[in-house]
Amino acid sequence: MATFMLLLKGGDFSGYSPEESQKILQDYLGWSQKLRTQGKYKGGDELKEGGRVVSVADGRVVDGPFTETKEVIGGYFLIEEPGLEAAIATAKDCPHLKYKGRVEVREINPH
Amino acid sequence: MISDVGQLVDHLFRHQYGHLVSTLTRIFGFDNLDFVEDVVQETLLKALRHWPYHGIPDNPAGWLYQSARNHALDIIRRNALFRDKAAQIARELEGAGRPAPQTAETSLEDDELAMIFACCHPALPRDTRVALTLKTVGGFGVAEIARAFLTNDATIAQRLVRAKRRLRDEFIVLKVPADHEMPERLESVLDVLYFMFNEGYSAHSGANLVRFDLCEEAIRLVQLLALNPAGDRPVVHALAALMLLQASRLSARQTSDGQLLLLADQDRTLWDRRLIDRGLYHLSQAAQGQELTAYHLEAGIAACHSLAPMYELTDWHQILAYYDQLVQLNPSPVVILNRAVALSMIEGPHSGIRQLHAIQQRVPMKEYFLFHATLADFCRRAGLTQEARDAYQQAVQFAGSDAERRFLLGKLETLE
Repeated sequence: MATFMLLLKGGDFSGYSPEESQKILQDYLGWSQKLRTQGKYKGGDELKEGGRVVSVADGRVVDGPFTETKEVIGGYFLIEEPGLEAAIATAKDCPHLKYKGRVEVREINPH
Repeated sequence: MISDVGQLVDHLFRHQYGHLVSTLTRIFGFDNLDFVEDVVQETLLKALRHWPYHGIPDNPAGWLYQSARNHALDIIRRNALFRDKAAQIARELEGAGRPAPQTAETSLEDDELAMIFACCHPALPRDTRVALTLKTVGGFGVAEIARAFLTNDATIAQRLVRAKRRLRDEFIVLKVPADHEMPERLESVLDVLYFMFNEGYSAHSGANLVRFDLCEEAIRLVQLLALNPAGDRPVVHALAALMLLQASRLSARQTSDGQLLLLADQDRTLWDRRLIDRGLYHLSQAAQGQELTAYHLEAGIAACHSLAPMYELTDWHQILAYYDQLVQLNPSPVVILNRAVALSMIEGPHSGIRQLHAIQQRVPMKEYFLFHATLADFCRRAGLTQEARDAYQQAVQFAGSDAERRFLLGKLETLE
C-alpha cells in the first residue's frame, strides 16, 4: 500500500441554484464517503483562500507571482491505494472534474 | 477521523436560502435585497467548498446561519455604503445569532412569514408575486422558475428586477400585516400558493421534477402559514387541506411507465395516508367559524375521494352538493364541467352531456382537452360510439402532454 495526495485545483461553482448546489455537494460527499467506507481515506482538508507564493526576484524575497485561478489548490485528500493506477482511477471519479476543476495525483515518498 | 460524512436533509439549501434571505432582509431592509441574496449565495458556496473535506457539520442550518452572519458583518464593517447604519445593523445581526434555540426558531418563521406577505403584496401582478415568492422564500433559481412556467430565464429575471423595484418604490415593509389588513393580504398570499400548487399538480409538460417541487413548496408555505398564530384561520386551513389531499394521490396518478390513471383506476393503497391524515386535520380546523370559501368546498370534494375505500363507494351526492355551492360562488365553465361529472354519476351520462352542451360555447371549452375528454367519456357510457370517437379526437388535438395524448389514444382504441 502506498499513500497518495490528491490536490484539488481550480473548480467553479458559480451560477448554480441552491438546489443544484446541494446536488453538487452531495456528489462530493458521496465520493468521499466511498473512500471512507473502502478504508482508503487517510485525511484531507480545505485550504484557506488567499496566501502567497514567496520567491526571489532581483535578489530580493517578494510576494508573487500570484497563482492563476485554475491552479489554486482548494484542498487535498490523503488516500491509501495499492499503486498509482488505482489512485488515478479514484481521482477520475472525483466530482471536482465535472466543475472545471483538476486533480493532481502525487505519491507520498516513504521514508 | 470521521467515518461518516453525514446525510443532507432534502432541499436543505433551498429552504435555508429562504430563511437566511428573510432574516437578513429584515435587518438590512428591502433596499438591500440584492446584497442580501449575494451574501446568502456566497454562504452556500462556502459550504460547497468546505463540507466536502470535513463532512456535514452537526448543525448544518446553524453553520450556514453563523457563516452568513459573519460574512454580512464583515462586509458592513468594510463597506462605506453601510457606514451610517453599520453599528445598528451589527447589533441586530449579533442579537439575531444569540443562542436561544426556541425563540430563534420562532423569529425565523416570523421573518419568513413577513417575507411571504411582502412578496405576495397585492400591489404586484400575480405572475410577479409567484416568481418573487419562489425566488426569495422558496430558494428556487431563475432557470428553475423559468422551466416550471415554460418561459425563458430572461423573462423571469426581468420580472424579478421589476418586482424588487416596485417593492422599494411602494415602501413595502417587511412585517406580518396587522389584523385589519389581514383578510386582503391573506387572500393575495393564498392566491399565489394555490396557483403555485396547481401549476405543479397539472404538469402540462410531462414529467418535470421541478413541477413536483412546486407542489411541495406550496404545501410547505401554506402549512407554515396555518401553524403560525398570524395565519391560523379557517380559510388557510382549507387551502392546506385541499393541497394535502390532492398531493396524497400524486404518486398514484401515473403508472411506472408514465401512463395516466383516472381516479377510478388508481391503486388506492398507493395514496399517501400521512398526507391524507394531515389534510383531514386541516379540514377539521377549516370547519371552525362561519366562513365558507371555494377552498373549503374543493377540499371537501377532495376529502370525499380520499375517504372512499373504493371508487364504487364514492359519495357522489355529497360531492354534487359541494359543486352546487361552488357553482354559486364561481359559475365558471370549468366548475360546471366538473359538476357535470358528479351529476353523471348520479343521473347518468345523458344528464352530463346536456350540461356540457350548455357550456360548449364558453371560453376556453373549445380548446380545453378535458372538456372534450369528459364529453367523450359521457358519450361512451351512453353508447354513442361515433360521438365518443369524435370527442376523443378533439381532445387529442388539445392535449398538453404526451402522457395525456397517450391516455386519450388508448381510450380511442378501446372504443372499437
